Amino acid sequence: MTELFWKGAAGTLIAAVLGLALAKQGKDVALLLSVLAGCMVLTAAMTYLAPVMVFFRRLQQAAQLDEALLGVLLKAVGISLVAQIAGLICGDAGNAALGKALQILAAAAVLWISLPLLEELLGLIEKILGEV
Amino acid sequence: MEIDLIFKIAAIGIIVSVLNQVLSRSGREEQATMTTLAGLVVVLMMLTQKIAELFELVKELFQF
Repeated sequence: MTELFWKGAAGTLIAAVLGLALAKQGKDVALLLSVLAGCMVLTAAMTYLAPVMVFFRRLQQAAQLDEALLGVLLKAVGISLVAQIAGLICGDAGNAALGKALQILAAAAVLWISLPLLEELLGLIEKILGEV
Repeated sequence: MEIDLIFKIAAIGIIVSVLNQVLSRSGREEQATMTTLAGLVVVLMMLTQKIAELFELVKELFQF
């Protein structure tokens, strides 16, 4: 299983060197190469994360937590992960403004996802204040 | 993990840049541009598939 990590590290280094060689002629293909290497490494990371998610599910069942609570957290992590990588790639391509816009989009999406939780919290606060 | 895909894209990039140089030196600027664009489209088509696979994996893993 750890050979996936070594393959990923080797692939990333090779992509970086090949990207340098290609960037002298045209930056477009070099950028696509780095996007591909990033995709492959992230896919490998997801393979490692799958058993961790199963463990989280077991923890949630053991602690009898609400399923929506963990769902919101996981979705926020997924959105942040993809937005961070895509934003960094935009920055590498010389378009940092697009990267920033993407991060703002990700923040808005995370806020929208956590809206039910925030409403629940507000309801709880109102309930507590009503009882006082 | 398919590292050979990285080599494939690097090879396409090298071939495209060589063709671009040859065509530019022989005064065929339009064809050189078209060759570069064609290479870019080919690489993009390979890449789109991988990006879609990654997004599907992220959606499945983080329960979207």
